[in-house]
Amino acid sequence: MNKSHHEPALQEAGQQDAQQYLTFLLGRETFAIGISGIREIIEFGGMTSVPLMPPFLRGVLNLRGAVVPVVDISVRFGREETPIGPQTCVVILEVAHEGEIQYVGVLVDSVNEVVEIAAEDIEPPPSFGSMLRPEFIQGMGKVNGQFVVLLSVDYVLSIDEMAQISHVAESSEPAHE
Amino acid sequence: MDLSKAKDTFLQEARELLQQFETLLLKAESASLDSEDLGALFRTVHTIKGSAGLFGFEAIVSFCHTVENVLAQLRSGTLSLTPELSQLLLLCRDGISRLVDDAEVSETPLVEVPEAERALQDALASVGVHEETPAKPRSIPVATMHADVDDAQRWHIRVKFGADVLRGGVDPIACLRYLSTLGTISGMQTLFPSLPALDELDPETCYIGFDFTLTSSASLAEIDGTFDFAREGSEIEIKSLTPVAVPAAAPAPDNQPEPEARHAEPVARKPGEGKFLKVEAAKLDRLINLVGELVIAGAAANVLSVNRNDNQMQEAISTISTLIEQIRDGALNMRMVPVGEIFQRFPRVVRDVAHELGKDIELRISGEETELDKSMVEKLTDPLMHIVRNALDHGIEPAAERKSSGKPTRGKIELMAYHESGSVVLEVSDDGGGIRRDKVIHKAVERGLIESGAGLTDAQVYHLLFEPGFSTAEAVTNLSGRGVGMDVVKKNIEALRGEIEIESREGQGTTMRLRLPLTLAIIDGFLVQVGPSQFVIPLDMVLECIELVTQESRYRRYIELRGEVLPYIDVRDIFDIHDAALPSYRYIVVVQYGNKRAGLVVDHLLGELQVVIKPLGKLFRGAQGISGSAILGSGEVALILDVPQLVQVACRQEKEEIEHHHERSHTEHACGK
Amino acid sequence: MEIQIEERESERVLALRGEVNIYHAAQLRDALLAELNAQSEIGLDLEHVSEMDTSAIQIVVALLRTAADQGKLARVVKVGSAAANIIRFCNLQDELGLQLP
Repeated sequence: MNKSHHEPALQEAGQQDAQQYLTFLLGRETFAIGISGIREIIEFGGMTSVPLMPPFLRGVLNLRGAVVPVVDISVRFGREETPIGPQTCVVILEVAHEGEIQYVGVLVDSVNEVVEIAAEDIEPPPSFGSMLRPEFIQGMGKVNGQFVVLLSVDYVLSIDEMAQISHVAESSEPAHE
Repeated sequence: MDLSKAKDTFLQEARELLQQFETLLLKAESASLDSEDLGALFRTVHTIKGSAGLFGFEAIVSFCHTVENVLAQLRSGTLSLTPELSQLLLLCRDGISRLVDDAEVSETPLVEVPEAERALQDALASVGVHEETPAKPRSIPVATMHADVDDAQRWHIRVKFGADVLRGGVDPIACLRYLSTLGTISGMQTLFPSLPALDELDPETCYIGFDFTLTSSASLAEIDGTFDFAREGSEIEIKSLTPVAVPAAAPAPDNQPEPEARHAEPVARKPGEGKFLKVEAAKLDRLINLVGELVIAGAAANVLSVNRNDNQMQEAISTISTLIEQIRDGALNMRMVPVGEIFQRFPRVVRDVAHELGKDIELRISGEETELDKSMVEKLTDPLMHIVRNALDHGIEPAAERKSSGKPTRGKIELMAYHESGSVVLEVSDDGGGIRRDKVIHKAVERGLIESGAGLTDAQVYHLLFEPGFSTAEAVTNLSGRGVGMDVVKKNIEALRGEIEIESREGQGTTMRLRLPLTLAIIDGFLVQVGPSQFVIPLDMVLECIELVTQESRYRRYIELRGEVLPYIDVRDIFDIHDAALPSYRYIVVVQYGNKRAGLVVDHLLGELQVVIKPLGKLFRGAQGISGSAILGSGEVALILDVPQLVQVACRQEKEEIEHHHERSHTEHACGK
Repeated sequence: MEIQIEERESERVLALRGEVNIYHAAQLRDALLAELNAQSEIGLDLEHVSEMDTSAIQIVVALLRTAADQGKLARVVKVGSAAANIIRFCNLQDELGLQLP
């Protein structure tokens, strides 16, 4: 009796574990982000760069009256700057910081699709080989038979850390000639 | 009945009254209080007691009652205000304040007076002589509390309560019962001028009215205040029955309280009093936000109309813009409060701290009426407090030292506020020893902040005081310390888009000058373009624009403007903007900040506009030369220039560049290249 | 508030108990109105009333006035200390036909 009562509940929990992810292309590599933190996706329509900021802070854009920072995570991963093209999109994410939700835009080469990845299809991150800081990786998800990096938004877009970098970068900026 | 709003009103009123109480007592330390002051002193506590009774804050009632007894004796002249008593009363003020704080937070109000306050009560009881101070004042029948007060007046009061009073949660009879605690009610007539028959009677509509005589020493404002919660729709008439006292030609003897003629006027409220509307700050902020959006939308419409070349449309939009501007000014104005709100806390602080330090210090305050944004007031209190404590502690020298340097032993601290070119300036000056340059440099070197003081201007040296890690336990006593250094002060002020200037003369004193924007929400700006980027310069800083004449020397970064040297900053250089073709004509925007001038070289001048300031957020907290952003009518984001910071960045870059060249030329020389 | 109808000796009495205030005002009015419509004489016993407020007072006054207008008789037959207190404060003894110490 008891068992039959519990089974459906377990199944439901199992289904909830299969989360939806947005996959996108960045420098020819496919990454994915859980959709729960995504507010919206907009086509890149220009932004204003803020001078004297580290390169990963590409600028700010106007999202219906709110000024939202745009982060180039490719630069943050230590890779090349994301070039602006016709497919370029900005994924607007909600990042919690000091009890408040802050919007951060992430520049991507193009967005692919929303996929469902079951918990059992997610592998722990490899100890090396991804060329990414381990805490940036939430796991490796299997999508269409291929592994993609599921990004850990909390770390990749850690406001504290990024602010720290921008602060340090700025104040130690060497004088240009 | 929802009492929470009424309670908030009570708490706020009580705190205001306590502030008055304190101000009066502090006044007594330098001048003797006249009968009006003593009457006012009495009324503050009396009013708190009365309102506290309404909410059943029995501990407050009880404690205030004891204080009030002493005050009544002061007023009647049977007791005189000695410094000791004054000190005791100040402590009592703090006691009431604590009880009020408690009333705010605790679920169940205190009934018994807590121990600390009870000790004060006992101390007061030993001062007050003619009436035994009851240990449990609650046992006194309320109606007789005022029997011993001799300057009672008679008032004829007629009230017809409004129809919705009951629905508003107010019981008129309870109101009058409270009134009866202020004195004695006689000749009561309860009236039901429009009471319908039972079948037509609405059980929740109020039909009641009263007509009676009140004998009380309470002021008209207090009596009138009884009806505060039932004012809507009510007709209230309060007339004095006591003959109007004709002011005597000769001044009344000091110990005899002058009859207050203003009591006799039917409506003796202070001008403006009671005409305030209390509005929740968040509501106002929402309004201001909306107005901000309106300004943006208005600008967008304006751009469209100009592009379409439609004159009629442009005219209509210009009318709308004017109106929006007025709404904006009106809305912002609602947030403006006099700076006196902050200043009034200082007399007590200065007095107490000076006392603690064994220094004799006089505080002078001026410009209390200067207005600034309410949200800034809250954020300024702590930094200002810190600066004042610092002046008390480190600024003013001990009396002996002052004497030996030929200064009056009594130190002076001056708090000042005024408006200057679109900013609010707050100044804290002391006539102390001033900042000793060598000492600061010594310490900064010791702390590893600088390598040597060579080449530093005085201003640069003084600003070392604001470096994190400068003030340490050694420099900061418990008093001014409170665990925060001056670096926090600087950070707080900068967060308000303000800046700090220090002026100091050794042996003569120090002035700390806080320069703050009038408001945090919207500014008038001047839009310029540099390369592909648009920047907004706060309009109140812009003096004029001139064309940049190509310099003969590519190193020279100043021009001569009407006989003065004007250094300039090329925004392209400082912001590293090199990805757009250099136009053939460029411009210098001459800006003024504080008492300095500088030029900013830009590509294009795009004209004046109003913008809503949007903070860039924490990610950009390291941004320099940028104070925020603004959304233009086109939807693009423009950055707002922080001129003083920009100059700082320019100074630093130039210095580094010079040093760099210097080093390079030396190494080249050393290597024999 | 409790309302009890009691047949005492020669009269019918409405006895109120407990707190009689704005929360019960509608109930009180309806009860009194029903009684007034059904009877020609009404007695009101306020002895065990623990609290009365303005709404209660004005309903009682309205009852007495309306009864008089209709040629009926309504009166307060007994008061306890709470009722006496408020009636005395409002000086409504005459209006309610009461003599209180």
